[in-house]
Amino acid sequence: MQEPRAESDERVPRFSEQRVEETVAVLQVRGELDIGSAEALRHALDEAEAHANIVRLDAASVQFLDSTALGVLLASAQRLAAKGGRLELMNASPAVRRILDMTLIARTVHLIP
Amino acid sequence: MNDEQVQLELTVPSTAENIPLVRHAVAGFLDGHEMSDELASDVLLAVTEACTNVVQHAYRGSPPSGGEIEVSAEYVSSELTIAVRDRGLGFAPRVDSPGLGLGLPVIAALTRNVEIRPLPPSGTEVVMTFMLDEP
Repeated sequence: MQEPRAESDERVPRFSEQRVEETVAVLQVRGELDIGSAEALRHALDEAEAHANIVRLDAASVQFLDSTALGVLLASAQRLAAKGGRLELMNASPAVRRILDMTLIARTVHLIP
Repeated sequence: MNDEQVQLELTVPSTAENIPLVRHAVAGFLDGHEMSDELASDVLLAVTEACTNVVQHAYRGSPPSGGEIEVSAEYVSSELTIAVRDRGLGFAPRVDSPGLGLGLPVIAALTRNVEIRPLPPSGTEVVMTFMLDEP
């Protein structure tokens, strides 16, 4: 007769659910994002990342974005991904979407229409 | 077809704060000419990338405002040519580059043609050509 397996037996399948609350920070950004504003963008993203694992950047009022600003977004997206979160970009203008598509960074930053 | 030449010449200290100034000046220059919003955005992005390269690379090791960015733009017929020049160290690979290295690929993707030339005795000229929209 087979002995029942003890609770401590690693072969016994066990299931536990851990509720993870996703925290979302919405960051409203306005103006032109280039090398002159990259540091301010980096600082704003750092602050949002400190208390959220999903940062949603509302780009509705972003009039311009270049590859320097893109680098800041990419670094933030990578940091968030490393802790299980993500960077989302919402309301991006066609011009902003164009550079995201051109550089394939749209694969790393989640675009929300 | 308009064969008249219209030109813009601009020289500013090579600082990050001056890049929007250049961009807005070029935007004003573009305003007087018919082109799609997409093309105008492409031109402004390409000019910004070229100027950013000057600020990040051309005068490194020099004191702030140690050099200048020279920008010229002209329409000839249906072609827009914009040149961004510096009198800095010259064009060379850089292992400690502070950026992603996307500037030149972006410029190449946005322009009909781009040429990067050394400027004797020192410096670099990036000449970007755009075709205006067909009527």
